[in-house]
Amino acid sequence: MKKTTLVIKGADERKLREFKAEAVRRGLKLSEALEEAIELWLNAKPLLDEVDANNLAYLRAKRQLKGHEGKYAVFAFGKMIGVFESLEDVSKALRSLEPKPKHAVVAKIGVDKPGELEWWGGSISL
Amino acid sequence: MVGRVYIPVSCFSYAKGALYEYPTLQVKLFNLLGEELELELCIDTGFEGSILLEREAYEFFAVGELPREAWRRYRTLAGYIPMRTARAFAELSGRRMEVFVETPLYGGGKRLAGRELLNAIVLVLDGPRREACVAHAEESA
Repeated sequence: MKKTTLVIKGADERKLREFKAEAVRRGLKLSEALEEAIELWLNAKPLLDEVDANNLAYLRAKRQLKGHEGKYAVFAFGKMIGVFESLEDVSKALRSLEPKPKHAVVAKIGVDKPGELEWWGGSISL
Repeated sequence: MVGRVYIPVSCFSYAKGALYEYPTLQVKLFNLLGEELELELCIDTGFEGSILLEREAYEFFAVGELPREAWRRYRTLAGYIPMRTARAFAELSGRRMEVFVETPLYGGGKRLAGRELLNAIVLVLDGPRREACVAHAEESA
């Protein structure tokens, strides 16, 4: 197998540090760990359920969505369906899909953020 | 003297509680495929979100789910509860609005209408009649 040298620019420093530490913990060289990770990533798709696949498609496309703030990006069947002006347009696009999706990620670009809300006593019985 | 008159548009009977009855709302919900589900929700002003459902009912709305990184979580007396969050449309007394539908990521859920939804409507709680009414408010001189 031909070996090559890889230089990566702009990688997340924290993630890379964690990756290196995990490689050491598993007793792997960095190149071996990277090969394993690439293999897993390439083969993972058929193992993902619809929710994971749509979220993965969203994460992959996230950077390209800049400049579309306030619009809705839709992901179904593990791929991006499109960017739409309104939720009514999203609804139309989803209805036109065949077969009908059971799950879709609908992200309001630049608006959807993880919120922390409160829930008083009623939740104790959960 | 300036007053306000609340005219009931649609009223819903209270449901039986352990000891006292509690107010409920009948809401028509639509997923993003346009499919309809009519549900009775307990009115819960202690729940800050929009609509909470149990897992089975939530799956109906999974076709409009927010990305996992934007799912919301709730601060409770028993600690934080992370939720799955989806977009839907609600129709209440002829008025259509966008809402969030949620279910706990782990464990069961309940059918609740929370403050995010309640703050968007005029609601009259008529305790003696055991009725919760979506109303129309009119200023009167």
